[in-house]
Amino acid sequence: MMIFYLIGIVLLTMVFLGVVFLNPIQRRRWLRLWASLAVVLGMALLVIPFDNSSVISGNNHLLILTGGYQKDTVAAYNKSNAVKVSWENLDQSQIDQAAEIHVFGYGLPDTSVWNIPKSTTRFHASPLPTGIASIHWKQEISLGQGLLIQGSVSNPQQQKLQLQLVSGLLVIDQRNLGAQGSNRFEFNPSPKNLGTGNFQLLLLKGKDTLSKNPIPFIVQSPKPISVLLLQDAPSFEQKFLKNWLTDHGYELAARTRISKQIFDQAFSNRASANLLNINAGLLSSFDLLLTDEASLNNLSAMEQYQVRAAIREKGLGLLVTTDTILKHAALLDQALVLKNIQDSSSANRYLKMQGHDSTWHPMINKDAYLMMLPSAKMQTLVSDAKGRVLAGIYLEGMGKIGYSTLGQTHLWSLAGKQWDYDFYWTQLLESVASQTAIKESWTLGSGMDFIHHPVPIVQWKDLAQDSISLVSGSKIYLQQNAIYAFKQEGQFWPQQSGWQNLVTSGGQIKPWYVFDTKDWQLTQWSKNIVQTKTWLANSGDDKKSKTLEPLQPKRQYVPAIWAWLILLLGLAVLWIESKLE
Amino acid sequence: MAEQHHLPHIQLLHKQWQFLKAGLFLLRVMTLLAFLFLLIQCLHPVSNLWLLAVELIAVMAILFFPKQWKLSETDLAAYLNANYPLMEDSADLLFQPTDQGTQLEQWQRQKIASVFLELQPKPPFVKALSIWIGALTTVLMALLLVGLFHWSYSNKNANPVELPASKIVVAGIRSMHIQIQPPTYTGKPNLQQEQPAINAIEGSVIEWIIVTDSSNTAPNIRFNDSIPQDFKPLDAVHTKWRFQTKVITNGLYQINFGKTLSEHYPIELVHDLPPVIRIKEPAPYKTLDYGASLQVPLKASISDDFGIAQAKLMLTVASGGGEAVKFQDQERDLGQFGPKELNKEIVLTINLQALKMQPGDELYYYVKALDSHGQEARSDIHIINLPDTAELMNTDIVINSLNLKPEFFRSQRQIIIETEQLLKDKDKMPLDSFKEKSNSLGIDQKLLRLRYGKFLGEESMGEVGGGHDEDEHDHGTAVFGDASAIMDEFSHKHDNAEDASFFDPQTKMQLKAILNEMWKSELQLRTFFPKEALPFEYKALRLLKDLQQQSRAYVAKTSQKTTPIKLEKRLTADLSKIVPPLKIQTAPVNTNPLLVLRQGMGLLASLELGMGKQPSDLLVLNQTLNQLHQEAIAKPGKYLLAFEAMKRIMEQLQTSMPITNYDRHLAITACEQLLQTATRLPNLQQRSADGGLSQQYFIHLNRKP
Repeated sequence: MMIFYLIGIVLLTMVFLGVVFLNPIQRRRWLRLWASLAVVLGMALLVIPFDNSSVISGNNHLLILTGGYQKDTVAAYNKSNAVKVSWENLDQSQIDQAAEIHVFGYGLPDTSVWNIPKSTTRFHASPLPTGIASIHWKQEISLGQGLLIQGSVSNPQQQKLQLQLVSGLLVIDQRNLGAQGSNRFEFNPSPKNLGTGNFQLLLLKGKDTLSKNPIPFIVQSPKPISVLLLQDAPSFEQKFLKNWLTDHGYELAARTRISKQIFDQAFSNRASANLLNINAGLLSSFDLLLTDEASLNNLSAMEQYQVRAAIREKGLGLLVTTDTILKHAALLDQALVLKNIQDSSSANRYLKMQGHDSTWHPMINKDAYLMMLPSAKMQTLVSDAKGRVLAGIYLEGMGKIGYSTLGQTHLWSLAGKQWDYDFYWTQLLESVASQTAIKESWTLGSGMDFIHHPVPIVQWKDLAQDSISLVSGSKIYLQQNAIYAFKQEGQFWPQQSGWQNLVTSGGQIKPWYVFDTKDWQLTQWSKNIVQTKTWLANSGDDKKSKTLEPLQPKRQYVPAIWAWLILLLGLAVLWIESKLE
Repeated sequence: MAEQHHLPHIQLLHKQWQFLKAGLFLLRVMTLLAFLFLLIQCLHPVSNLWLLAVELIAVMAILFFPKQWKLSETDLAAYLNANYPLMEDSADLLFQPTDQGTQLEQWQRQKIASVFLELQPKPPFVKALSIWIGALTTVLMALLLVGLFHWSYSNKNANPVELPASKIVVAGIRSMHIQIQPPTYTGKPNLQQEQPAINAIEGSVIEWIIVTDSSNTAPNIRFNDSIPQDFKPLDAVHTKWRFQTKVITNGLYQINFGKTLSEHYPIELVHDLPPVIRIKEPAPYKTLDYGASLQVPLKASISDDFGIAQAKLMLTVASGGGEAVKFQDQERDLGQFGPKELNKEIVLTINLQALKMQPGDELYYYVKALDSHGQEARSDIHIINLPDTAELMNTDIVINSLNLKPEFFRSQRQIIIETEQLLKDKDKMPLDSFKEKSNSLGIDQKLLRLRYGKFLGEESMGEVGGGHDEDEHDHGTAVFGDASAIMDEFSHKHDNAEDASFFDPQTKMQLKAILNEMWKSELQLRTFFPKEALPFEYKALRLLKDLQQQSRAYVAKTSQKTTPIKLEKRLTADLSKIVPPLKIQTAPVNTNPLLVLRQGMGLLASLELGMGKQPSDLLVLNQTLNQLHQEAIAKPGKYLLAFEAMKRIMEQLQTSMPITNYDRHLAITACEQLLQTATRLPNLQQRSADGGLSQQYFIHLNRKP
């Protein structure tokens, strides 16, 4: 077919040339000639496809520029066959055509968006500037609990830095960091607010503020624990504990033997009940059973069975305190082995509790005391300075059993060390008490969510599909997971930063914080670098095993618009010229 | 003879015209200066008396510029020649005497003299004079009017100087002036200020003077958001107002005029603190051992913020013992104080002999001071003890319920007795005997010291405080509950069993102190200074006695009545009548007002996106505002800004206006400063309905191999 087009064009050319040269008018002959040739060329381009002589081959280098890329590093790879493209403007065809891919900057924000072959990809990470490279804190705590903030600061410079933790306009804590290198830091303030709170973490270099980032958190009011206290004899330890629990509004029912078959009963912040008969009904109204070994031994077989069943099947917590080696109650199943220690040094009077070291007291564990031999299934709660276990817990079915050999903790309270007393009993009771089952739970985002970025929302509940809504009025409908019927998932794109309320259809309000894009930038960059390096190092998804097809040279054809333009131009000139004649 | 009379006339004319010209010059200068003064008066009013000084300059100008007003004879002649043709240009001849000149001149003089006498020329300055007189009069009248204006204006304000504008921002109030009059006793001068924030001494009288634009309504002042109190007008037009009050507590105030209420301004008071007394010397409890001087130096310092009025030393001597103790009080004035004496150092000597103190008596003393405000302060009570050596030597001491004097105890007394005897016999015996006796007493003291030293493990001779520690003895592993092992641990087997005692660290320290004194006593005895050894011997004996009395426990005598035993119930084990105790109690409601601040702080943190507008949230925020208000009243300098910020936040919440971050942070900072760290309490943990098992299963499923 092409031959006919060519013959036709040649004939047309001859015709046009004949018309031009046979025209007796000599004026503007050359103009007529060029116009005629333009018409022929336009018509030829219309019917015969011409392609660009430059062919894009598969041997180019693709330079992907992500945030923080360094021009010097890029320039070293920016050869004649290199194609630079930013992450935002990247498309799959560019990736497919590239023989080698170089990633510059702080790494790929998302490694799953494009299908990038790892075998041909190289990552040239930019060095992080001075700032907070990593940070972590617990989002939700209870009142009185410390908010543990841990992180590291990248400081390649010579000058020392300072970290300040600010609440409002008040600096509540600060740290001095050394020059050069990565410095780890830790803060553990105890927030004073209830509900939502916001600290600011400032990184200073002299008087200059290098970065200022928010640390949002939620402080919940502690939910009281219901305690059943059984004691074989009155003691000061028991009295102090009863007063402490009563003063702080906790439900307490105490039964203390004062004589044979005569018990002293006390009830605080709850109605009275029959404590003489320990049965399942009574135990179900408590979260924790606090007793000593003697009381456990004195329980009848049925009562012991009820207690055991409550622990294993209902999750009741059992806390046993003792300071003498007696016959272990059958309930404890020989799980604990106690040992007598004779140590008059002062080391044993410093107690180590999780996250807190107590102050020294002259009478606690003076000279001789009991310790528990560690075992694989026991978690240590309290130990002395030499690592001897003084209190621990272990799992028993749904519940937990705790054991403590400290019997004079009220001495802390008498000595004015109320903080130690509070911390010890809080840790013990919290660790052992049963946990309440909630009907639904929410997982919002990843803990560090940013505006204009997708935030996953997961709801775990037994009912069918449900919806939630924000204060701003956006409603989000969740999709039920195909495999797990109790799981609903959704996604949300926050448009505003700051605290937001998530309101469920059941009326539950859950506050949640969205960061602005300028918050925690260095942390995000550091995370991207690690994420990109990990992704590259992980060859699991690598398509190297597949045979890559050789890239075909791509022909680029001249667009038809040019042909039409040339044709019209030629015709116009001929027409004008004829009119001029 | 006309030519004989023309000369005085021409001379008189000359003088007259000279005077007029000078007067004209003076008038011109005076008018110009007065005009300048008028301009100055219009721009910056000054006293009109300055005009006289200004006009004196004009007078002085006549002296400095004579050419401007001098009229020479030539000028006069020229004028006459120019204006009077009859003078035939010969007027200058009139100034010459008759016998001067040529014959022709004389004839001409004669001719024009008669003409001159009939001429009566008029001075040319008359018109100019009248003009300048008119001008000067006009300027002076203008000055008078300006002066009248300023006078009447200054009268209205009763203050020649206009008050500068104050910082108060209330529509209609032009200025506010505050005068603070501190209490008279402080001796501080009055303070004047325009700033509304007041910092004054407690008890100051504060006067507000306000100038308003209009006189329709009276401004009022409101303290701590209470009932407003009106200002009193000072002038007839009711644009100047006054209010005066005495401040005794911190607080806030607002000025209200018309419909505008100012912001809260703080009143912070500096409280007059009582005097501070510090006794530097002697120590709080001082014992004067035997031989020590009875003159005890006392050094104390007294300081006050506004002045000390009076200071006294109060002394109480306690003599006797048991129920027969007697107290004798005395006081001594510590001198006069100047009107503004803020610090005074007291140095004096307490003469125990003058106080008639005997051995065994105790002196209790303290310093009492009164400041200029009448506030009294007292120092701690210090004690000087004069031990009774005779009591120390008393043989009625009972030990261990047995009338047995331990050998060691008697030995120390014996040494003292023998030392005193030696001193008495010193003059009666030869020197060698004296020295030998003193040396033998030193040896006795040494033996006694060694004997005591054994209790502390000091067995080597001549060592004081050395030797091994009691605790380092290895007594083997003690078995828990073995009493004898415990006793073995602390007892010593080196000495007699009956001497074994149970020493604790404090006892050991006291024993060491006793040994120290014994060593010093031995040193003096060995160097033949028994007199110097006596104080050490007595001190050792006193310490021994203290050690002995330390182990005693004094129990009050009580009578106990026990329930009579019912023999029929005894040993029956019948507990049926015993009612088991039952106690039901409820925790007290937490009325701590600061508790609401915790919730308010949490709501403030989330006010960015309009959260916190629920009625319950608004209630909490209002309570937070009230609490901050109370704190701002108590400490305006610290919490006023936060209170104002919280108030703005509440207003912005009600009007749906945006809330500034700075206001939020101010309020949060105040809450942070007011609140204490919360008590750590157990929290009931929560778990999902399936215990989280499905979640864990799902996570494990998704984990990549």
